[in-house]
Amino acid sequence: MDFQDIVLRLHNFWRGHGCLILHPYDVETGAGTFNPATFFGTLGPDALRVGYLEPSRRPTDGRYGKNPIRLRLHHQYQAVLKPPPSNIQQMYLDSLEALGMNLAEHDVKFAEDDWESPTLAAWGVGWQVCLDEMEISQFTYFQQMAGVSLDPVSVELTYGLERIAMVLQGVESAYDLRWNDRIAYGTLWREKERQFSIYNFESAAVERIQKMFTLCEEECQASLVAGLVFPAYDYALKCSHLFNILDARHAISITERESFIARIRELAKACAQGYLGTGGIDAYPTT
Amino acid sequence: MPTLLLEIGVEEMPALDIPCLAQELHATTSKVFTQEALSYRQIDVYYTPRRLAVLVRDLKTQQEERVRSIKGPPTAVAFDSEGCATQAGIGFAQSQGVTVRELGQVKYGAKIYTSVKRSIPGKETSEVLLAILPRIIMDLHPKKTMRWDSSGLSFIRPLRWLVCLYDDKLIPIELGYLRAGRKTYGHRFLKQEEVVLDGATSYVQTLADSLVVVDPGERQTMVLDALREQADRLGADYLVDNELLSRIVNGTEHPTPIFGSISEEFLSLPTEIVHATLREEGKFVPFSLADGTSPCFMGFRDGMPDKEGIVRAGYERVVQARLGDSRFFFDRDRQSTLAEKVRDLHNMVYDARLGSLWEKVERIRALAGAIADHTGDGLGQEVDRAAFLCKADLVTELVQAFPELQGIAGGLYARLDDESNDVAEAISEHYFPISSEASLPKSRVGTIVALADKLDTVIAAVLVGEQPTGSRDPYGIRRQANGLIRLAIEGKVDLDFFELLESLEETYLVMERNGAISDVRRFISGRVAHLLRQKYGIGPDVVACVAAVTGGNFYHIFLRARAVTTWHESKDFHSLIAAFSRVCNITKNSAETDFNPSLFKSEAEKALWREYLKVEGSLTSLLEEGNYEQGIKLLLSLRDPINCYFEDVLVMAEEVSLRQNRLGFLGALARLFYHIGDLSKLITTSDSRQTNPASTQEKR
Repeated sequence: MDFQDIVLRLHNFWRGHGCLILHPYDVETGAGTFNPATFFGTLGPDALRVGYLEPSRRPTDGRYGKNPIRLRLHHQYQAVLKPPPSNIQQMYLDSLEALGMNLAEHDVKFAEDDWESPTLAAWGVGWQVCLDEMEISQFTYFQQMAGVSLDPVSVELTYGLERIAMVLQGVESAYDLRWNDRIAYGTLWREKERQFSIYNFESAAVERIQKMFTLCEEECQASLVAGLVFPAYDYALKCSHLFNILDARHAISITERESFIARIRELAKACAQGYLGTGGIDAYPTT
Repeated sequence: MPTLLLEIGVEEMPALDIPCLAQELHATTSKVFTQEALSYRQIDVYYTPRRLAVLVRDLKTQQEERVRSIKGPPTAVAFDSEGCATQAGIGFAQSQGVTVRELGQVKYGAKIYTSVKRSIPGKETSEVLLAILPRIIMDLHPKKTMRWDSSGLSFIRPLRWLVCLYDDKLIPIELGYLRAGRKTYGHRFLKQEEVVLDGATSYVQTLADSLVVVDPGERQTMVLDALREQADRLGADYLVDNELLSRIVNGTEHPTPIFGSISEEFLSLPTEIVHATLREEGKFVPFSLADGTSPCFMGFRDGMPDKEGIVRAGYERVVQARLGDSRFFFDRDRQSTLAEKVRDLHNMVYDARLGSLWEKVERIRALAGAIADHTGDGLGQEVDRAAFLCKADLVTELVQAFPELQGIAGGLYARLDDESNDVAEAISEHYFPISSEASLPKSRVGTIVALADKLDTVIAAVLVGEQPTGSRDPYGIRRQANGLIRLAIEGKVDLDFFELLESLEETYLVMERNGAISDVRRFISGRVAHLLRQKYGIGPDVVACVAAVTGGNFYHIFLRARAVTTWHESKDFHSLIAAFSRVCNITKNSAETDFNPSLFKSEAEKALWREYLKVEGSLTSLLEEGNYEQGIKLLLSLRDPINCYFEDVLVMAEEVSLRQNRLGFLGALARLFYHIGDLSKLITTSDSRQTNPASTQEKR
């Protein structure tokens, strides 16, 4: 099954379970959780069902295109359901079968992996789902988002698509995956991985990035003052991404690290408070 | 008699937390059943990641009859001074349907109340179970809980089903949105996952038929047998610690070994890194071959054997990628030398109040240097170099990815940087011992740096007021102090650490607070006493004896304790203690004073003086060598002269100057014994006979 087929099948599967099928957010994110559909959607009392693809950029994971599974940009598929159905584990396993996986042939484990994001002031309880000991998904019952205790809680299923595709196509390296019947994943992505790795680890202009961080932080704060939570959140996301570049560049000492994270966290919390404060907007309704 | 089964179905629980939770389930069940007067023969608890099960065997069908006493008004209120019932007394009796005469009495606190004894007939067990079983489940306290629906329940992971059978009878307990039934689930990846249980007693077998081994002991045997067999086949050792074993045993319902090998391209990577990579997240068990390479590992599939080799290929793919990561970290770390990394320690905070790791390294260097000076092994240069480099690996990518490689990674990199063997070995060993049973550094340089590192951690924590209290020990300094003391004792380090502290005041000047150094002494002395008892098996009275003389030479304290223990059982020694006690008793209230031997009159006095001089002359050098056994033997020669002395000499002479002179001499004699300790703290067998009740009876 081609990489692009996997995405289409997951869209279909979750559409069948009543999810809104959305698109990747067009601001850099480190994980699907940062997409506003999850960030704002999990807040508040209203039901939520969404599914979307999210390219996730993690500068420190870059390996110059040389590691078979560690990537600076990998593709996450994310399904979020609030409240969680009681058969959600089975539903998740069914989605793997829908991708053509014969689970009886593999070793599937739900291994404890509680999730926490200090930048989002969010945490949840759950597992990494391992297929033959390779982590292919993160399965999390969110308990808190942006410092707010969630009621009802949401469940988030995050699929690591490259890894799942490797199993399905039986290849040893993500770069050997078929994107479609003509183009290999490597053809599409290897050079980008190489260039971004050089950029993130060696070339990004530390001072300029630090300035950009401060500018985005100010823009976020200014938008919050104007009561514009969605634009504000975009700038919080940018801060998070810029921080990740600085981190990969080893430009942040351990002491500074904490304070950078705290600055982003304050922005995220303020966005959440602004959103809940508007009273009753349901940004991603189910009906 | 019938058996009760309660099975709690849960989404996969964290492997390491399950045993504890199961133990709690066992304890709570036994407590509640006893409270509720439900008699049974035995409780067995089983568990897998997806279920906790309790089987109560031979549970009586009827609750035992219980007697409850119902409290009425105080007796003084219920009856008047003539003993006649008052209105209150009559009212209470009537309300309980008894006559006034049938009222009993019961004491609550200081007051006496009227009471009525009521026997409560036992209910049917199944009725009681309905009420208590949900409570037992909700009384469990997992380390971390979560919510998953709107029932308000919280647990370690979502509760998904309940089975409750009393033999073949269904007990339909309710909890949240769940209601107990007969339906359980076999192994998740069986075609026919749902299983209907027809009775409690067949539980273990029925699940075994559905590929679930509910007994954790049996799963552990399966895992260890597989590892042992493979190791024998390879002529290798398998490297599994308790945590990794528990992750495998409690992370699977049916562990099946899958053997895999490592691609040759990684054989050039240091073995320590390969092993750490394999053990990461508790997935694979490495095998270590005699020649140091480990081209293979074992993982455990949850399910059946992997006939097509699909799982094996998957495991190998994961290991390949992980090792690729490790090599990436290794290569990046190798872009600068360990010595160059030291300056990055400026940016790593050790503690907000204690400064950066750089500052810690500076203190370790000062301490290690001072220790090396005293122990005089001529290793000053190596010690300083090792101390300088010992924390540099904390900034490496390898240690950030595998924290358990701290020290080991530093040693590896030092060797590759062409640091001397002594230095490299010392770096890799300086965290040793990592537990009370773990091994100590092999090298002398490693021992000295390890001593300095631990001493600094302890001093620094105490200086900022973080001494451990109860279970709170934020810097883990109990363990650090234990390590320090073990290093000194087992490394035979003949050095007084407290004197060393005095000489190092400058190093800790910045953090000085009043009285802190004596806090450090007190804390460490407490640990010495603890370790002598717990680790070295020294009797509590011997510990009290040697601890009466405080000091910072832990090795010598240990030697003293051991010598006293050796002599402890001998009759001669007991009589020496008696003699010593006489000396102590008579001098205990007088201050240390000078004395003049020319004033000695009787022969006994002069004889004791001569013996004293002889003993004192050789004792000091014996003790400096640490030869406490000979020292005690030498002291024994004082016994007879002391006894003669007390027979002949009246210490408390009328004449003041004579009395002072004698007390002064005996004081000096007592101090001689104090080189060993306070012998009066020792419990001799003759003492224990006195307190033996049997012997008291004889006297009567």
